[in-house]
Amino acid sequence: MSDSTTALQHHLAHQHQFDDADQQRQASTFGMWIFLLTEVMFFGGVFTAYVLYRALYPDAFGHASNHLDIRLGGFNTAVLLTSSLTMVLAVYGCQVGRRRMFKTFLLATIGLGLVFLAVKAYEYAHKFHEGLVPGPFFNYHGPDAPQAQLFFSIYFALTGIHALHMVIGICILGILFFNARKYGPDYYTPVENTGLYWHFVDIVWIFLFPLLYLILRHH
Amino acid sequence: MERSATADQHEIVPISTYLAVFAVLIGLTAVTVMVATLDLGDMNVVVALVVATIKAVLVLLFFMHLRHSGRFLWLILGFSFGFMALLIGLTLSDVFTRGYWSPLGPNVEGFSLSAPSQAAPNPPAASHTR
Repeated sequence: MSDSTTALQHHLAHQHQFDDADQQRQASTFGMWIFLLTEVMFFGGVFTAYVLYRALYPDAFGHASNHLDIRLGGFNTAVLLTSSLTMVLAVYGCQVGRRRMFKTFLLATIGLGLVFLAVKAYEYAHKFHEGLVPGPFFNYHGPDAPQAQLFFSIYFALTGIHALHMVIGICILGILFFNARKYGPDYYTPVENTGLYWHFVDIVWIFLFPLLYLILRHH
Repeated sequence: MERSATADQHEIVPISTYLAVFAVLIGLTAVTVMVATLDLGDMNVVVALVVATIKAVLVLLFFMHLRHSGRFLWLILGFSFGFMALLIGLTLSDVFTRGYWSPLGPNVEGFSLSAPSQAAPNPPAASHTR
């Protein structure tokens, strides 16, 4: 790492409006956590709808849920958990000044995120073919079709918003990758905070998987 | 915002810790799927949510470095939980205490998780509006 890179990091780490680098880091992290709190409420609204309607129509939800492919959902869960590992290893690489490790694990996280989205796209396409997308082409073979449509509305809302968050996260990771020289042991707050965002998106999926895919899987 | 409350993210967690947490997370995912194939009745949901919560807590503590963070950040987590509890709690307590008027509509025989046994065909004459 050249002197100019370290100087750049010191400059970024302590901007003039902050008392010192420590205070800047704490303010920045606090801001990200507050944002994540708003995100909890954002997803929380749709989760609440799910809780309510599942409680009202447990059987319809169970049968509708069986149309989801548990292998793809489980695979995607493993992919996201692994991406959280690669994310935290990217932060580690940045913290200890190993830039190649940092960049490699950033790319790995992006790659795993893209794998997740590809599986999701395949699942969505399949739903279109099966006629399980709520709307004029909804074609559900089974009892309680209106309630099943409700389940799929919630399914698409939750996983769709989640996928949107994944796309945004991947873009931010890409920006970090291209600006990697700005980050190092003296200044890694943006990397850490991107990690917080990514782990939050992972936590949302940790709850989505059992709630959407595993409602009625015993026979 | 006190300085010490958001302190110390300079703590560098060893890679072995991250790998161990990851292994547990994968294991708990497998547990979730396997338990889902058993018939535990109402407990299925409870177990699924408990396992998911444990996984989330592991991610929060170790991957999101909450273990080494100050009280202020823990407070934000507490607020998340509190507001969600309010949202879900008040919504459900509204819908499921609608008594005579079932959540599926007035005069509809239906859902009886917490409503008193109904199927009264007409509202009692002396009842208030709603």
